[in-house]
Amino acid sequence: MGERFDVIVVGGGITGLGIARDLSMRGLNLLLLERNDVASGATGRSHGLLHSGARYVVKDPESAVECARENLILRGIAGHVIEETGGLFIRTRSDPVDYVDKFEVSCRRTGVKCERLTKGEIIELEPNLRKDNLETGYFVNDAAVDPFKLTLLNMFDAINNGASILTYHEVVDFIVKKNQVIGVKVLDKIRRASKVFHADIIVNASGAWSGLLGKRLGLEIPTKPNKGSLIVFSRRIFNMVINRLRPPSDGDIFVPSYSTTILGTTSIEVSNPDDFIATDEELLTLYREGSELYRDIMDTRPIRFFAGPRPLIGGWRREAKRTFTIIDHEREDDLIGLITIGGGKLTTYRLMAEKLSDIVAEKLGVSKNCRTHKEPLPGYYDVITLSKFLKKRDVPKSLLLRSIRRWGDLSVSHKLYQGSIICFCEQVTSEEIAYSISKAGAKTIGDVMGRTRASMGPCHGQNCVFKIAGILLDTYSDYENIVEEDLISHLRRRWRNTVTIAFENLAAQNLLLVSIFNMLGNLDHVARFLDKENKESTSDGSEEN
Amino acid sequence: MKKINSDVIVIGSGAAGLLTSIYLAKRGKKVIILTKGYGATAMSSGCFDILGFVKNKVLESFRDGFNELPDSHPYLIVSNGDISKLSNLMNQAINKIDDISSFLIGNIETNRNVITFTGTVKTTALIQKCMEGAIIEHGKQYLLLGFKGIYDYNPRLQARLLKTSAKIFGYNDIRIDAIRINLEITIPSIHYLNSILKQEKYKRLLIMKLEKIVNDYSPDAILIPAIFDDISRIKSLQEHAPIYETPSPPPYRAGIRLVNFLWRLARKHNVSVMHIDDLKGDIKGKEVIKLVAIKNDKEIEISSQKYILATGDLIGGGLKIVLNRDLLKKELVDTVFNLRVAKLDKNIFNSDLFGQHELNKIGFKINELMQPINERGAPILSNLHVVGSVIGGYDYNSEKSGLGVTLATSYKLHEELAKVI
Ligand SMILES: Cc1cc2nc3c(=O)[nH]c(=O)nc-3n(C[C@H](O)[C@H](O)[C@H](O)COP(=O)(O)OP(=O)(O)OC[C@H]3O[C@@H](n4cnc5c(N)ncnc54)[C@H](O)[C@@H]3O)c2cc1C
Ligand SMILES: Cc1cc2nc3c(=O)[nH]c(=O)nc-3n(C[C@H](O)[C@H](O)[C@H](O)COP(=O)(O)OP(=O)(O)OC[C@H]3O[C@@H](n4cnc5c(N)ncnc54)[C@H](O)[C@@H]3O)c2cc1C
Ligand SMILES: Cc1cc2nc3c(=O)[nH]c(=O)nc-3n(C[C@H](O)[C@H](O)[C@H](O)COP(=O)(O)OP(=O)(O)OC[C@H]3O[C@@H](n4cnc5c(N)ncnc54)[C@H](O)[C@@H]3O)c2cc1C
Repeated sequence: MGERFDVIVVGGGITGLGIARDLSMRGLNLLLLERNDVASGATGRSHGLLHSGARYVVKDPESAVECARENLILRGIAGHVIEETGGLFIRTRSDPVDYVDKFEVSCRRTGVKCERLTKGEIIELEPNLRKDNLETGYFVNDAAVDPFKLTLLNMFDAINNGASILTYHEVVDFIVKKNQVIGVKVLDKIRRASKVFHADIIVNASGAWSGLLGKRLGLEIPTKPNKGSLIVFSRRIFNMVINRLRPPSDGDIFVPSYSTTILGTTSIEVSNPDDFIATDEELLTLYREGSELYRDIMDTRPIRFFAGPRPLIGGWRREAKRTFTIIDHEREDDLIGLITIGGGKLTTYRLMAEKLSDIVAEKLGVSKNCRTHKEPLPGYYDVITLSKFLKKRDVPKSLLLRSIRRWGDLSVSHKLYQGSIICFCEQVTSEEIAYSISKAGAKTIGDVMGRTRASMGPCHGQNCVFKIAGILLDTYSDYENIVEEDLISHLRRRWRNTVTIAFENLAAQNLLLVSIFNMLGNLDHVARFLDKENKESTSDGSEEN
Repeated sequence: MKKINSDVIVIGSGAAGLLTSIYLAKRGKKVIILTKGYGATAMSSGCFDILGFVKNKVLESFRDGFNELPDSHPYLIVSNGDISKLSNLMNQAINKIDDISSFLIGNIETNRNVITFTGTVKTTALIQKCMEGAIIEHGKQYLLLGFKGIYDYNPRLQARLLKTSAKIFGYNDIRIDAIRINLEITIPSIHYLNSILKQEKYKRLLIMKLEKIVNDYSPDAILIPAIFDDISRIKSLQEHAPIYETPSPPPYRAGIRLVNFLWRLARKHNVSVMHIDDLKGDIKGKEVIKLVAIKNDKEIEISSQKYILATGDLIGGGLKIVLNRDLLKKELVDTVFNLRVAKLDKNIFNSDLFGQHELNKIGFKINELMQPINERGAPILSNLHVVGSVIGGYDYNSEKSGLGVTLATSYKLHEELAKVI
């Protein structure tokens, strides 16, 4: 008999954590289970564009309206993880002329704000745009949001409101009694233990994996995982979000993110949501399209190329909304206690969470209303507090600013800018890393990376992964169980998504990573040994079965 | 424009460039090195790997793996497939380095397993003298030493990995302790330890703590990464405790010390060196006509009978992968002559971080005169030769053969050139 909760949420993406925040604010006792780290699915692989809605005005006006509304709400509650870059829609010579009018008319109709700019005004705003290819453009309310941080802040608030969040806990099966789902069977991947949890309602917020999860219950959830790939460049090419003024398609958005710029994306239907390797073909598509807006793209150093699975749900019978889908399996499949949510966007996660939470609240007879749009997320700071704080003399300003940019007010209250610098590329301190482990639930090197950006810089952690592993070993007791495994799998993942873009300087950086760990460290020998051990232990397991 | 002439021009000052220059200069040839930037040698552990692994098997000597090397391997090309020739060549190559025994111990025939800065165990052959105690041996007691407040490495983590590695290599009977001492000073990073320990006060404190450790633990070896700029510094500590360094990459100094050691030799033998900002090769037909170097915005023309490319691989800077903007295709070219070095098969990029790497194998194909050759086996340029890791056909990462190949190819080339210049 496992622990009991009112609600269990499966999936720690932005949707799951949005729900965790909302329902725990309404006083429900909630558990969230995530098989890896929070934001390790589509959320941590998205473009990080806080849509103004303009991208969807023509094709999907309902989505556009939702985005426009949520965009404003998020600026109010999560301003500290949003960079108000503004956005441009640019028509290049190769984009259709007739889209311009459609765009303007649809913006007016949906209430999505846009302002036409002259060529001169555009160049003044973004001098790096290709002048020879530029026709017209519009200013819109796009912004850049840090998806890792947004997820994390929702997690903090959920925890503050009493929710339990367990990462590295994979739901492997459901417990069903007659026609009711009453609990889940879970694998704790760090302690390598099986567990059971019970709840009145279980929410399947596992994104692109929701179909796989449904299969365990014999349900046919029409999840259509759709892969999108993105390139991270090592500097700010543009300071605003740049979109192509044409129907949404491949490689037509640049989003600035911290000191980098991200170009995306592609759209390819895949059968297995875990199959998200960004391919050479996609890379070349992005380069081809990207060069329409930015001439020097070939000479700009890329740091990373990665892909994520969009959690699209297609062709459902009675869609709650066209933009995202909530499936109440009690109504659809006569299975009590399970609700699936899918589709949607990072930008609209809060709205999705609100709608789902309303349904759950009604089922459980809770009358409290949603407040997630009114209360700011933890760490929110205002400009006056910040400027007072910046007057402090004893810490280098650049370090302070970076730290505040990453943690908002939390940096100030927990003095996260103090300690030794662990990651030189991203200026991350030992205090910040210790905090992300002891207070923000980081359990692996990758988790620390997602929370602090340590090892996300151009050197791919060749200097800091061992430092981070050392701090984990000193501060998180369960790390003993996974030391080698984590080091090896982290380095493998870092390598995998950079090798395809291995050219110019990056190829050298990449190989340096190989050399340091294979050649000097002989870590390849350790990896081989562990791989063999793993294989043996899994084949032992299957023989027993 | 300034013009310079020489018998031989060597481009690149890693182990390959320096060794070739030293060997040629010792035979009375006039050598100029042209170089820019840092190479892989400075990033290495400064220990000479000869051949540690073949097909994932740990080797006790390069002899045990020689027969399994691919035909493209430089070891086979320099020796014509004859193992005793290779052994001779490499022994001579080592013996011709003056005073080598003050710096390296071991020999090319016998592999040693050495504890590294991460706690893994590395298979290598010639190791820096100050690392002798890091050789892993049955029944020994190792104490991994860290410093409070320094995060660059963590002796507990190192101990953990050493335990695993010792198991893999069959040394279950070693004893491992890990401790951190407090030098009572805030040290922002390990870089500073080198200079801090030059101060008498801290050196004395360290010695005191070391003596206490010897008293409390009586370890066979106390291990730290290669912190010191000069090995005499660790020698002076060894008077008080059995302290040794481990093979370690930058920011540690083992590789840099090897480069410095070779630099001193090159100067001793009157090799001239020119640090340049940029370099372009000028080719006409099948011949290198001259090099044009840029230094402080001025152009300098340099010409000679023979040109030697010792510019290293992708890491060293001699090769680069470029994205051809017209074809949107990746190509591998060298950075001085812009020669297309090899076709880039797409599979090159589909590898795991650990293990064999096609990417690491790419580089010039060569003949027995160390000339780069084309697909038909003909020399690409009649007066151009290559040495070191700019040569392809082997994967030093999975084999552990980097500086070994550098040694063998440098010596072989000098023999060939001495005949004709
Ligand atoms: C390439 C790309 C670019 C995008 N760009 C943008 C953008 O710029 N702006 C925008 O608004 N939106 C964007 N999106 C859409 C947005 O990223 C997603 O809609 C959103 O992140 C989905 O969040 P989610 O929580 O539903 O799914 P996910 O983030 O995928 O979360 C699902 C989680 O469930 C976990 N899980 C799966 N199975 C189990 C199990 N059995 N047990 C426990 N846990 C499990 C997974 O590990 C995962 O973490 C983009 C999407 C992609 C793919
Ligand atoms: C807005 C934004 C900005 C970014 N900026 C940068 C940047 O500046 N520099 C940079 O280098 N990168 C940047 N990234 C990319 C980021 O570092 C990762 O590459 C991206 O999140 C994909 O993760 P990955 O490469 O580890 O995944 P992959 O290598 O694709 O790993 C996928 C595999 O690992 C599994 N997995 C995923 N998470 C975990 C986990 N926590 N534990 C165990 N297994 C797991 C998955 O199930 C899958 O099988 C950015 C990403 C975003 C969204
Ligand atoms: C991290 C790491 C650890 C290693 N550890 C070991 C080890 O422990 N043991 C071992 O045996 N091997 C090791 N290796 C492999 C070994 O270091 C190399 O194989 C070897 O150093 C190659 O020597 P090289 O002289 O050919 O090239 P490099 O040392 O790379 O030298 C190339 C030189 O050419 C110069 N150069 C490059 N391009 C130009 C240009 N266009 N114009 C002018 N000059 C140029 C560079 O600045 C440099 O001086 C390691 C490699 C790495 C990367």
